[in-house]
Amino acid sequence: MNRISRSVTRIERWNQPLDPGMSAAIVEEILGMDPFAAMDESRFSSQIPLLGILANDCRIVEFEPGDLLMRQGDYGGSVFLVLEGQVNATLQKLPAELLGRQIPRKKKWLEVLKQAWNGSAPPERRELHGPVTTQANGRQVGHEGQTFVQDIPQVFEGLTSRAIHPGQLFGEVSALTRSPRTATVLARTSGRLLEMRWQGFRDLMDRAPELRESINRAYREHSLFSHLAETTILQHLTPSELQAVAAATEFHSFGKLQWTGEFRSMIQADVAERILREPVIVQQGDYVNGLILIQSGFARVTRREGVGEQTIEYIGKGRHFGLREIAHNFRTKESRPWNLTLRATGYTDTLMIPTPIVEQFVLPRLPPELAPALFQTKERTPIGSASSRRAEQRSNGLSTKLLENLVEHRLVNGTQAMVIDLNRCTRCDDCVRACATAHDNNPRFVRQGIVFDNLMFASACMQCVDPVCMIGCPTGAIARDEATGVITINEQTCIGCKTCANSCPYNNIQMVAVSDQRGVALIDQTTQLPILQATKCDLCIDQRSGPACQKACPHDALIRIDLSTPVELNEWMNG
Amino acid sequence: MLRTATIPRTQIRDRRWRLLLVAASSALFIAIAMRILDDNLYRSTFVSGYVLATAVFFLASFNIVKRLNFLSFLGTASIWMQLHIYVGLLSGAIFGVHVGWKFPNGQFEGLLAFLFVSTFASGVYGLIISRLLPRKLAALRTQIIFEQIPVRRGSLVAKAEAVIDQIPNRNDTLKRFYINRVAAFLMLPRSLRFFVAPSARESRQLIDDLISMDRYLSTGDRESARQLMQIIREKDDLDYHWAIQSRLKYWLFVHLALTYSLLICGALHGVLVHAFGGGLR
Repeated sequence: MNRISRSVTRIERWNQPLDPGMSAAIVEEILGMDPFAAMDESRFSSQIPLLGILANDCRIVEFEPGDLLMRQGDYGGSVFLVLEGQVNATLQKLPAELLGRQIPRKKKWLEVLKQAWNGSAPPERRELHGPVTTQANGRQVGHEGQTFVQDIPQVFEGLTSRAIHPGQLFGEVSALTRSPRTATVLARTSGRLLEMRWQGFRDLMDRAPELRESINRAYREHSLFSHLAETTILQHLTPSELQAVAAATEFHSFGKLQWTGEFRSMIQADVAERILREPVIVQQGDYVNGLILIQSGFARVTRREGVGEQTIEYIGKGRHFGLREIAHNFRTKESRPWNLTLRATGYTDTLMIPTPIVEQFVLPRLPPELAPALFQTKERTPIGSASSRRAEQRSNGLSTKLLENLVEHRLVNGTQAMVIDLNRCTRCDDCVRACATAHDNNPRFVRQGIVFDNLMFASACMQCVDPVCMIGCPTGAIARDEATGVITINEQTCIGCKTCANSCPYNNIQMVAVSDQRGVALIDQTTQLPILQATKCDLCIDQRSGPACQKACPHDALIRIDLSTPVELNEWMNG
Repeated sequence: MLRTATIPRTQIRDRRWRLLLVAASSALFIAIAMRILDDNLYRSTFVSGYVLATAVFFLASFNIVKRLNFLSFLGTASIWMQLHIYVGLLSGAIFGVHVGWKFPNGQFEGLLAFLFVSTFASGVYGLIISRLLPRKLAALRTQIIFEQIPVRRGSLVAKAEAVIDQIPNRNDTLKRFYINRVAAFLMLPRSLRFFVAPSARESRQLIDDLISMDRYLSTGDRESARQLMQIIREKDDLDYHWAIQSRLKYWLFVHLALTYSLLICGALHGVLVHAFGGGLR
């Protein structure tokens, strides 16, 4: 008799511990160490006790001199605490061959060919409780620790690095901000690390205020210098000048870290109101008090037009705002106010370098290739003039309406947004079929979405700069792939809690009822309800041919494009 | 971060001109080659027949290639589409050379020529509509997936009935108009004429009639009439989507059916020619 459903145990948060070998003795030993020894266990809930976090979200990693522990540019979901030995962190770029980057597993040719015959496969087949792959979880040390850098003294000889000693943390900035690792960490001596899943670390920070305090302090100290050093207009400064700039720099944060709810309520409001509700970073007409650097998130540049605001541009991480005004005032000895307004969209971290510091250190040393454009533009087109406005419009090439819609719908967050030119799309659905073929007969996007003019921004995961979907995941099932930056969902650890689907501001994550290999629906043994799992576009990460949707479009109507700057979209449309 | 290649619009235009030039040059080359063969007392139809058969098999393979999209070495569907178009145009010229620019008088050859010309014409028709109709769809207020149209139609009927149910029984002017005129428009499929040449005439007429009825309606009924007008516009958009998207989908079935018939008859033609044709010289 054919069965239509089968009862199974629902996956729970700690079903798959980070290391099944974490014994009670090891947990006891860690509990006696700093900073855990100082933590008050009564602050932790009974569902997520401190011991539970240590036993399930942590593991011990032993290292030898030369072991690569963290690699610059990778995305990672782990935080590391040095227990014994010494490791060194460097912000300098090391050769790729030295770091031995891992490439995500692609399907073998036979597996690729088999896809052609899966047209009648039952939907959403899963092999739950199978082997867990650490790669999909975005953990670092498990395999990276096996990368060994030879002749370690010689490697360190030419490097500017910082020693990290027992009791100190590393990797917390990128794990908590969902951004790439800024430093490479190598083992100097042999020793031991405690690796913590960021979900567990987040719970520790929630329950232990002293840890939270020290993390915030370290975050400011460590990330500031590296961020300034990476900024183009500051790269010509000497380390001592950079230190002086860093000492005077102010941090400001605008908006909420988890901005999905606010975005959903705001998108219902009138266009003019939406802009006005965004937090102001600098206001047109105010005194120019400093140079603004965007550290994370996005900001909208607007100009007052009648009683409303017109969007001129949007800027993201690494971009600066206000150098033109400061340079103009510095050169002409005038004191013109801000020419434009800068507003935070979503959650935006900024750094503000005060005007006198910019005038003292930055402007006198500005390289000629950066300086002339600033000054010459000023001489030819006075700020705020009609020709200056036209020049700004030309510079990004997109209409105000399109720019405003990209910002208001937060599409600027997408690094691989699916854009369909409706003037070319014949609605043949070849893209959907190709997607289904690449994903065991399950399409991972819907050919529908927000439409502006002739462009449709389809409901496919955009692989966001700031993936808010990852914030609440209790098991780390949704994580960035280390090598490609693609956000993937691990079927073996997704517990179907819907947190990511509810957090995605674009509704690009779908919950699906799963079945076993024969198509028998899986239901929870306890509740008798279907087992759900989150699904989304993974950019065909395991395919040899790249995103199937784009490759399958016969009319060049569909493209996966980076919207975090308007450059690519402009090139595609007007190029 | 994984990068995907973007092809700017200008490069697409350049590619089009390049391929057109290659197709035209190939046609010229084949015409000259045929002439040389004829001048040397060879039967050039054998050569042109083989070239044509190769071109037709290549064109037919596009449908298979689209399904094997995951094989990276096959390139993108867009490149194949361009090749399909220009090899298709070239095959028209080769066919002309092969049949000597006149329609064959034999029954089987006539059928074969009819199948080729029909397939070619359906391909050209598909090319034209795939360039023109998407713009018409893009200009509409709503965008909808073809398979969702029946569901959306149903929800519009439910919405309209909810509007009518709110009207008090003593004012039946709008209700009667709904039952006599609007209900049929919302519920029944549109005519074949609409499918062939969709127009907003019917919906505009209904809206005009609703506007002219305004003086018989109370303030509340006028609001209901306004809502009905909106529903009529939405229904008209849906029908327009249905008509245009059907055309974009169904022409391909005709093109494919003709292609497979052509392949079968073409293969038979090849066997017959080799059995009774007498060879290349």
